[in-house]
Amino acid sequence: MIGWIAILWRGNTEEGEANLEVQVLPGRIPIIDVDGEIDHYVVPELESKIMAFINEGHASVILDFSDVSYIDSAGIALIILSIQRSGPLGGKVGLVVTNENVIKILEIVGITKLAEAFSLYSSVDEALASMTGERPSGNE
Amino acid sequence: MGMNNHHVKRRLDIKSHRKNLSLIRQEVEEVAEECGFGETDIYQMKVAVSEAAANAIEHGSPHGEENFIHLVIECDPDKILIEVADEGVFKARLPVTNGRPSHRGRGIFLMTALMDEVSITEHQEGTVVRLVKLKESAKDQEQRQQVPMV
Repeated sequence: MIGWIAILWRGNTEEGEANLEVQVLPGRIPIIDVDGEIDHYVVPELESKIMAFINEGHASVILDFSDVSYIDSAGIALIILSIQRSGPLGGKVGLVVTNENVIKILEIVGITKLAEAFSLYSSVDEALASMTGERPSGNE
Repeated sequence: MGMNNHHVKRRLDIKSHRKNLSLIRQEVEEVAEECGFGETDIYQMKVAVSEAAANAIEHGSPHGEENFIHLVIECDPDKILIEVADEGVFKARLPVTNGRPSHRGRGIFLMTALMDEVSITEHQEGTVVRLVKLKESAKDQEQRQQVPMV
């Protein structure tokens, strides 16, 4: 099976850091792996990369935030924007989060209730199994 | 002797740029750790201060990076107080969506959800956001004191 992993962006700040890698395998929902701290500084760059990717026709995506240690309202806005973009294309956003503090922030802003176009998972495998079962990748 | 028995105060003037947000969070984390706060509380105050500072950078800095964000972090055995002051006016910072999701309103909402006390005061020289988080022990005490009043 041929697949590729692209490192789309690697951003560094003096104190913090955020990286973004995209993994696309044929017939599978693309996985956008973000790690580090998602704050108001890194979001504009992150947002343009993720939106460009969805607009290329990748309607459904998995945002793998397993290694995200911090998120604030800028990151929440990024998730909501991803949902708003992928929905009209017939896609769905799967979000993988494991950090309890990050989950708590998502709960406080009520994002976990947006069940129609969005699901929260505790691992990429779980996201792939669930999302592929419901709807094949829009990227074939 | 517990480290949380003494008073800690830190004052910082930081250039108004988003790249300094992580530095501001780090300062808060250091002081809060020294004051004996737990991991969840520290995480929550980091989000709150980051929201306040992001607001100050975006709407309280009329001269951009030439402006400063003034940070005061202070704690006593019962609570931590974080003040974020900018050099702008408050009127511009109500939620403006421009057709995209606004994180402005969400930022203020998060501050109030994560802290025990939030106040935003406009002064001639800028706006001051004051964030307070009580220690769990102080909250218990407050609740006990409130019981006979109800």
